[in-house]
Amino acid sequence: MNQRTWLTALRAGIIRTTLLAVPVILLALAYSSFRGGSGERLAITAIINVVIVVSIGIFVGNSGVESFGHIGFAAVGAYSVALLTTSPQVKKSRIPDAPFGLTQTQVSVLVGVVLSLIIVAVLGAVVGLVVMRLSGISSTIVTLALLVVVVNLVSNWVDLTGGAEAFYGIPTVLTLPMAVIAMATVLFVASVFRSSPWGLLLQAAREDELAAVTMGVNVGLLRWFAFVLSAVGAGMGGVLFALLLGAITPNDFYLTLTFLTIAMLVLGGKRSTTGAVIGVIVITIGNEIFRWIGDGPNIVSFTLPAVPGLTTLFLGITIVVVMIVRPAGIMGDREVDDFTLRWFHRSTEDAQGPAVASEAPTSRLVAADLVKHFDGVKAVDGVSLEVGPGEIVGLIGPNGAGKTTLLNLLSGVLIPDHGSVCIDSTPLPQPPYRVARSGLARTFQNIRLFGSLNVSENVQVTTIVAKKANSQGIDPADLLSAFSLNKISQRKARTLAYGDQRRLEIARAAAIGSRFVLLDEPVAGMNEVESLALRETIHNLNALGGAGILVVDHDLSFILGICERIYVLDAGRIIAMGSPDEIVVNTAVIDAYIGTSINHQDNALQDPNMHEQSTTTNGEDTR
Amino acid sequence: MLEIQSLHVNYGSISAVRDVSLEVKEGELVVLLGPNGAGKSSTLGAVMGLIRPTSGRIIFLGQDITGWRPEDIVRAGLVLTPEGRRILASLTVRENLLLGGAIRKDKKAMYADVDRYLDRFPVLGRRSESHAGDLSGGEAQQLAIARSLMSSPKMLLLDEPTLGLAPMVVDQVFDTVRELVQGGLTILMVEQNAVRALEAASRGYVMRTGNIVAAGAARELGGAEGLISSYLGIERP
Amino acid sequence: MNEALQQLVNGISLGSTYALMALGLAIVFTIFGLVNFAHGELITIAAYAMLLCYNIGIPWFLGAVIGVAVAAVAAVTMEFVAFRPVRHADVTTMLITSFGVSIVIQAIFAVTVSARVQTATQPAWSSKSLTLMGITLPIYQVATIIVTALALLILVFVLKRTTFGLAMRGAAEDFQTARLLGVRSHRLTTAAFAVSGLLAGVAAVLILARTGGAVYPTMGLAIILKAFVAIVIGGMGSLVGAAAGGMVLGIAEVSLRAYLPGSISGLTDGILFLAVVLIIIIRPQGILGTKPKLRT
Repeated sequence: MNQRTWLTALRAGIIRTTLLAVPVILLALAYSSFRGGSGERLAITAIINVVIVVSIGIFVGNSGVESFGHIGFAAVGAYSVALLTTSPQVKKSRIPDAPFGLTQTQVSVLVGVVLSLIIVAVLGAVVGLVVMRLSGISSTIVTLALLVVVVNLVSNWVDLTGGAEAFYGIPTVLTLPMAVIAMATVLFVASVFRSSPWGLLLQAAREDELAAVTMGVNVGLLRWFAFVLSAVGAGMGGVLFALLLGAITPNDFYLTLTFLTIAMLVLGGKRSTTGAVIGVIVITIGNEIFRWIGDGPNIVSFTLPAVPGLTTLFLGITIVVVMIVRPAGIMGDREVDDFTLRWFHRSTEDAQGPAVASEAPTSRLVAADLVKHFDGVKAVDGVSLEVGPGEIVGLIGPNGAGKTTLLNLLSGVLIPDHGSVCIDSTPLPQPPYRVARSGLARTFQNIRLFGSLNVSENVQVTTIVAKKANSQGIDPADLLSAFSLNKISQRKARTLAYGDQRRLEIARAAAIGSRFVLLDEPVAGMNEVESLALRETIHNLNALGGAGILVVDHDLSFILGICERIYVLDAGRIIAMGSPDEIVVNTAVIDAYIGTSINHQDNALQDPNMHEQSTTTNGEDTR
Repeated sequence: MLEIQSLHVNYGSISAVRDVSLEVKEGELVVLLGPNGAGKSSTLGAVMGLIRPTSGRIIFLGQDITGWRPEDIVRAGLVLTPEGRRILASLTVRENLLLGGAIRKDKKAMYADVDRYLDRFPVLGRRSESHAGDLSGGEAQQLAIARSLMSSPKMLLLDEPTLGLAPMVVDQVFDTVRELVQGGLTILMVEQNAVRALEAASRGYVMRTGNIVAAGAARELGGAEGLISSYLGIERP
Repeated sequence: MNEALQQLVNGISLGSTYALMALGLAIVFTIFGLVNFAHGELITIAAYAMLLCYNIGIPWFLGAVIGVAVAAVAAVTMEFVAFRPVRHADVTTMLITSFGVSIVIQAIFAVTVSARVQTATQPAWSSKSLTLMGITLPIYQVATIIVTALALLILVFVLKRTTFGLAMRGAAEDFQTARLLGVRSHRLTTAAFAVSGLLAGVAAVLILARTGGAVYPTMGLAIILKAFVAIVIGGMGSLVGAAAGGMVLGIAEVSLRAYLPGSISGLTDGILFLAVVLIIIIRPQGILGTKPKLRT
């Protein structure tokens, strides 16, 4: 298995950057020598596109949130460097009344670049605060809105930018080597982030945000960080364009460039740095071909008609076709250096060490008088329960009893209307990601694994969080062994058999659930054999770290076989609590499950040894 | 009228329904019992075409409807009143009924039926122009059943009609169900309230973890101890 | 005072156009789950159709009707060709697909007609004004308000009083339950797209009247951004919210443009969008939307 650390990420960064940069450099050199000056310009443009597309991918690919507005950061970067490095003479004729004394200021290109990046970083940080709180469509629309705001501002703040017409006179100092260095830097940062522990946590949130939060991932912070990184990268691209072209207009950083970069990102695969590079190369070549056709070229002695706008058409069709045929893009989430992963493979056969911290927990989970309403219905109506250290406690109840709501309250994703959930006497922390970090983990009824991540990565998410939260050094390899998952550690979680998926979900929770683990219908849909196997898994879990376990399920034989104590929930209230033997003969419980009886059935229920009334059960098991 | 043959339903790698075979004859009230997670709702879902069966056949009135779309199955005369009622809260009570009858061609008779059901369920009649979202659980269940009846089905699938209802309302629901059967409607009912359900039904099946573990005349199944064992899956001390 | 009233009418007129667009977007969103980036292109298609009609001498009204019809057909075609294949994909894939479709359509017009602005001759009355109680009202504004009101009335009538409308409302709330009642899902989705096309077509007619018939490939883009913003502030998933959001946006835009000092009135768009971002921060579900239940 490959454990993600910053060290392995750095290694991956170096390898991947080299493997990607070298072909690009070669192609660029080849094309420039073939086509001379205009060829070099095209090559540099393509390299700048790599910078932008890879940067956008840092956010979009890792977080799964689509952004249509990153070119706004490129605009800010371009205009910043333009305003800072253009000579005062030019500025006097173009923008004589610029605010902040910019007409007279000029700094060296290097200083200008650095300052521009700082400006973009600040803007990215502020915008990131907004974007990180939203998800899905709202986020995307906000990023689009911000692009419009930036371009609108730049076009209309005539004193500062010269408005919609060209701002010229920018020092055209960009050379191919400089562009390559910028590209290599961005490739390196993007690769390191993607392969790093933080990258993994963000990717987990992309797969399933709720699961990531309940495993202790601070999703908001990670999204913000990735956003700022990507903003700075896009800003860098804008800076490079300005220093290449020498003259810029707001329209250069508006929808056309947005279309182009999104097409490139999507074609190659937004989750892959390699994909981003491939996307740029393919579309640059394709664009050139279509531009050549559209210009009305001479083929042999035959002239094709000029068709402007052909390149845009090509871009749009590319996007649509890719989305329909292969939405993950050419590379999917694979990288060019995946084959090197074998070089860093660790053997897991010999893992013998303790999988979790040795100190046994002593806390109690105490829920007191919990009440939760939904639209006037009392889903949970005054529930109190406790789970002690090392106990295995069951929670059962008929459909609609409120078990899911109760579990959501106990894990902190729902806030009770009244009552409290405490670990010892400390209430559960907020926001929800802190709950896991205080040692309470849970699983879900509809399994929520990080599907595109492999088995080992799923578990590493929580070992990484555990290390950060409690400085608990749990070795993921040991954990996988403890749950018999080491042989399949490289398989993607969504390809696993059902029983294995359940086991993985529990293993993942085990790393962070040092004090309590709440299991939500772990044996749903399993047959006898599978349930028995899972019973063993739960015993392993219990033995590992001594965490208290609460199991919610409908499979009564399973619950009765594994739990020391059982709570019975019906219509939002606890109607019984006791040992398995006690629960099984409890009339109220049977009533709740099978239904109130009204005639002779009553007697049979109260005296379980009387069989005379029933006509077919001669003490037979009708299973 | 309805025949399910060797039905298997998988959700990805989860086997929710394993080799289930059952039948419902015309005019019968058959109940499908079992603890939750047993696969009862999945079975109904597969019959109605909401879920694609992995294998097996579903025959309704002699026609193989396996893999049909729900909207076509409804037009064949088989209707589902789903678990949790799923009434359309933003529509009024009357509109819910009208939508239920939308597939009928005989518009005049359909409008007459709307009035008939509003009459038959007085609480619906009183609130015919209120938004369905304002109804209580019991009222919503009545609406859901009435809405299903609006398409003049030949057979009704009822999924947990008494879920979350107060005991008195449960009585009403069972009364309604009995009336419907007496009126000639064929019903397959999934219920958690096993004892009550078996009192009303002629036959029953018990499911557990996807399989049918017991089947027979209602009277036979009604043996309390047997029922308990089927549900719990164990012998009690 | 008169000035204010005039601006108000202008605002309501612009808001009506936005409301029509937002409603078209919202109908597809609530039933199909897609935020259709290419919705703006339906306006462009209708506009070019009208351009063609007028250039070959078809009278204005007939051309307008044809334009609306063409938009509806285009919407249905879009659904069939581009969106049905990705129906079960995740939201982002569908969004990007619609983005791609939008680019394709823009490019087709740029390539086949011209990237430059063409003029679709508008009828004489559209540039005139009438004076009412001392206020000068451009006729196209009055026409826009009346037509939109009419369109909304018809829409409301259809939704509330026809079986088809009932089926749409049911499907918008709970698609699966609607199927269980016999609603034909495929047909309904196609119908939803057709309605969105009709609304876009009507909007196109009104926009042409407002701009004196300016037709160019990217004309849909500016409007679609406003429509997006309208449904976000109104609350995603609410038809009423979409219309309300559009109206609010229109009135706000006109007010800003009128009362901002001349030098920065060009920043109207920027300010509007910024305000929208602020609204989303304060109330992410929009004015009429519902909060998600579980916290993350």
